[in-house]
Amino acid sequence: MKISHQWLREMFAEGALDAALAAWSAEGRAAAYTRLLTGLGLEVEAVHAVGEGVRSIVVGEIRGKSPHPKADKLTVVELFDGTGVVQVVCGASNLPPLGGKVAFAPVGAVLPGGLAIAARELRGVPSQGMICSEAELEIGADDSGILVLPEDWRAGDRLVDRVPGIVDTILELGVTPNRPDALGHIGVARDVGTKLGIPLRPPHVHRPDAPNTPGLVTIAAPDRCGRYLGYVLEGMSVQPSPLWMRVRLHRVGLRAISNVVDVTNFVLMECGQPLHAFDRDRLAEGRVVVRRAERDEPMTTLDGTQKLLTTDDLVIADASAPQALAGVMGGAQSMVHAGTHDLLLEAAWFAPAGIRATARRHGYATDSSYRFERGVDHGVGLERAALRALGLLIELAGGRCTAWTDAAGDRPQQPAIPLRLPRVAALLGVEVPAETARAVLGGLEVQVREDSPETWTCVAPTHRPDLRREVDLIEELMRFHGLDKVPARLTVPAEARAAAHSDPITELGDRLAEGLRDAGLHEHVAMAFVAESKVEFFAVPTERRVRVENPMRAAGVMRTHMLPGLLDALAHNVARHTRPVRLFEVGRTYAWPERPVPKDGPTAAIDALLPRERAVAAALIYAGAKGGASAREITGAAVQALARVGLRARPVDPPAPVAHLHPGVQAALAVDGAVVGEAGEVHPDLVRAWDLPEGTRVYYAEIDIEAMPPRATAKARDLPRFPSTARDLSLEIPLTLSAARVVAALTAAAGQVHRSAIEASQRSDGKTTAGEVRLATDSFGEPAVEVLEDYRGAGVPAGHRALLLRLHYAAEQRSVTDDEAQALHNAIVAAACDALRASAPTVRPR
Amino acid sequence: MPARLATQLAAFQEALARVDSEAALYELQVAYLGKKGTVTQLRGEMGKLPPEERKGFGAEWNRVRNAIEAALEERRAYLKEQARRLDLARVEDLTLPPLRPPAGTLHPLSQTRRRLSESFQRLGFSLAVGPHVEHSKYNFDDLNVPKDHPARDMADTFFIRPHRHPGFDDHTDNDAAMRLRAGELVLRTHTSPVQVRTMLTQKPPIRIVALGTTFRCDDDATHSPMFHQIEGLYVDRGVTMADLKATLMDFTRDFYGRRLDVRFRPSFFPFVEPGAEFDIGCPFCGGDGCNLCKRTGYIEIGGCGMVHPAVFEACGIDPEVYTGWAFGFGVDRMTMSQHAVPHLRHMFEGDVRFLEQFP
Repeated sequence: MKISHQWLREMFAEGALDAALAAWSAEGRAAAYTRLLTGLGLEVEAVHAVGEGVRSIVVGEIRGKSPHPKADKLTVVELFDGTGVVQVVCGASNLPPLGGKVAFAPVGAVLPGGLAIAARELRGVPSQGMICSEAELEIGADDSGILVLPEDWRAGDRLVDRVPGIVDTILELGVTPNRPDALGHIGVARDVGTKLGIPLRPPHVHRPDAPNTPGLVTIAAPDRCGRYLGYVLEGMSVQPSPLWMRVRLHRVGLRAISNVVDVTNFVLMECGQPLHAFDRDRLAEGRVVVRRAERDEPMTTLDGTQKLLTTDDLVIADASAPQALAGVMGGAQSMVHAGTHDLLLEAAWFAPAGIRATARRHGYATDSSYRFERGVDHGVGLERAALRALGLLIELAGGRCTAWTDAAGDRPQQPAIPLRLPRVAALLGVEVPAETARAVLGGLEVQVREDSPETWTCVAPTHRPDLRREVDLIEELMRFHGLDKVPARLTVPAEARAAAHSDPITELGDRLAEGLRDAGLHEHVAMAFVAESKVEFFAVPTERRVRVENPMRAAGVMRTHMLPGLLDALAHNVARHTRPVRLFEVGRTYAWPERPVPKDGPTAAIDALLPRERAVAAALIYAGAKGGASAREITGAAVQALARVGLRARPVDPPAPVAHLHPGVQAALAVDGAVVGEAGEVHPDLVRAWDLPEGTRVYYAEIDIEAMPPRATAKARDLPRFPSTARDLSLEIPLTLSAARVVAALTAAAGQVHRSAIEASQRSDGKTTAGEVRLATDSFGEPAVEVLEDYRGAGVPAGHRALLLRLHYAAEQRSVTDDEAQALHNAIVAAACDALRASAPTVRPR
Repeated sequence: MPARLATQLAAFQEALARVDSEAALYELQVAYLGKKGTVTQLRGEMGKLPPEERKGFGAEWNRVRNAIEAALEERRAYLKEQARRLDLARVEDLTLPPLRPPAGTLHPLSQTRRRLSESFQRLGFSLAVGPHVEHSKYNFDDLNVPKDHPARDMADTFFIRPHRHPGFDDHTDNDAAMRLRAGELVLRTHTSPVQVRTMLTQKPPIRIVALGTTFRCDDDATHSPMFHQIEGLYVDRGVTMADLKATLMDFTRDFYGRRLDVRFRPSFFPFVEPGAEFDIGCPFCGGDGCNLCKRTGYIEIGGCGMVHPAVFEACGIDPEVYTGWAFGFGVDRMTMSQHAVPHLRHMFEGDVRFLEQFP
């Protein structure tokens, strides 16, 4: 919102604003405004001093015109500048006839754009200055020709004297949606006046001497239109506006069109009230009806587009057809044009939500809808805006008001708001004195009844729809008293506070992240949404994907896995350098649950409508152009990260193959038999889909944080006092039989052999065999079966490999002899091979 | 015999001169003085000598043995010293590139998030979380942002297509989903719905921070459609805006390691009243004025204010009994200024050459 200092000045007694502003602060106008308005919640985003360059422009009178001897498009002008005649070469095609007046920049002038005027020759003819266009003076948008001034202006007069306020300071305000009143100069002036203690002097208005004619306006939708003021003006003459009006509109960012349209825009910017002028001759029966549109009722708006309306759209119709989309945009048929004589001027209040819905439905965001959807004044301000426009129309376009009416619909009530002064301190920690409160509320035109010294009853003015409850008034008091007066004081001293706690899932994610970092991976943060084409590889059915209705960059699906984001990052890296890429991300994946999931607690009803968000940690390893990474690095990184949260994970055969990983290079990550994640080589189809070089091997692991068992505190085990004895085993197995299953079979066989040994000894002598030799355990209590080597060279049949294992044997209270270790080892190996041959008959010790 | 002793000594001395390692020296020692060493054997043959010669030979033998032992000891010391000198003569260039285990990093956003979270936990704020896909009731309505209110324009919203469980059309659990209309599910536009969720599930006193991912349809050089926010909420009896100011000042001391001024400017956020923007004294120059604070001595951080009574009412908390404050700010821009990150896009590309800069 652009606010003009000159315009604000006019809202107060002559000179009052400048004096008060200077008295309030000596820091200069721009800085003072910035501090003053920003302190009131009307943030000053920029301040522009405009028009300084216009000071040296004078009215010039054309005394002579002759064609330039060497250039067809140039004219040599004899110009009288009030003291003498100078020769000026001009390229404009709209030079007025002799005696006409133009804006003249003499030699030495510096135009607002910075152009310094000097005596020069144009194609050999000397030129002493320049005749200017609106655009060159930065007082209008028109750059098609020079600015032609009224003929009755006297040559030599300064433009700044002829157009008061042409030198101005423009403030760009960021107006928050709760302050529709500040979308006009009066509203800003009211805040400024209240803060500076100077009374507002609203602009003078024209009160029509014409009969109230109720037939002019019918409100058929009173719930959507609270008030409609209509005025008939006859005998108008549509022309360009005078220069002061055009400059004023230009200063606040609007384009001058014609006197009638300019007046409605002027009042829009002054009062914040959108008005609309209909060409009354084009209204059937010369009257309007405020009603809902018919279903699919057609209408052409004044921007020339045809709209099909809905029954929720409010229109201003004449006796037969819609003539305006109420509060949003006028219609083409009844728009004001050069030949318009009679007007119907509209000043109305429309229900904000309806305007907003219509504007959105039809893709409009106009100055008018912007204000109506925030809530304009439906009281005295509405009437004042209409009468202000009436006065200006009669002044600028002639004519007179012959009829008017004030139609009523359902107007919002202004509630009586109790205000307890002690509540201010209870909320803000600072007191506002009663006399300050009185002055602030008075300045804002809030009606106050002091029921007791501490309890007041207030009614907010109709231009402040945001003031509904006590806190709103408290905020007003604080805005003017100064939010900077709030002290820093704790309610509860720090030492009396309850202890804070973290969130368990966040905590686990953080620890896993540290583990992955320690494994040499860099943390990545990817967008949570991806393109549909990038989730197609994953085993999440289409209907369970969570979709964004209005995606950006075509990323229309919430990620179901972390892999797409990591592959995007990988592709980004591979395209730029040849180094290894080791990345991880901790975040969420999204999917609709397969069936409705019952929820608990006060938010259950809402939670049941939401998709499942899974907290996930994912890692990706790519060795770089040189290659050399092993798939076991990814299981290593995952197992190390899980160790960080106190979990001993091991890779095992996947319970079911994972679609996005290579079918032969994947494993599940298990903790105590429960699967918490997956790891493996990224499926070659995905490598192709991401346009990575053919044959690129990328490794990926994903850990489901919410599936992780709780961490147990580590308990120490006593160290073995007697040494253990190791036996190596080379086992020939099929390629598809996993090491995890071999180790499991050996462990199970050890348990079985040990149990039968105990049973045997119990049968013979009835004693236990506590000192019996058995498969040793490692520091963590796990069976001590090591996998040393995976051999696939010569001497092993096709489709097979040799697994070299080492088993450790120990007894509890003594050393183990070679013979008993060997005997146990042989028994275990035989039992394990028997067990494995059930599914893999070719297993044999080498 | 004595002649043989002398020969042995001479042979030993000759052999000793050729010894150049401790192992060879030990072999030599064994060869002469070991159990079956040549000199030891001569001692055994002493019995064959006539008795009158034995004494003289014994003394001679002892002398030779002592000489050999002394020579061995001397040679051993010499060899040790030689080895030490050789060892010390080694040269290795440790200014060559160090061999580091691969170093991983945490994302700068993570680092800031953790620091913020730790800071506020030290100030007694517990961590609260909420879903990213949120219902508009919690993201807007209960936060005093009614439907068809212009305040909804303050955040461009991503909408999520509602889901109906196939095959469960008659199931009562599906009823609400059946009634869901487009536009009711959103990607949360701020962390504020966590306020609502917390107030619905806990009784005051409430003292929480919510830190997390948020989404708005905004994509340019300074806006990412996905970004990160932190939100603080304190509800109890007698909580005032003065407490908010004091808490934010305590936060600056904990987070930046120096107590910085906190400044409020009136502003509007529908879920607080009075609402304010808050600035803190520039942590980079301490308020003296620098490029990062555009010479103002302050940097804009975020929004704050007293919890709107309408929000309390929506959450079943009596605003006559309890008051509270809330604040929120963006984590991404804070991270970027902290680490002087030149472009927003670096944050989400995953370029390892960028990420490795934040050990």
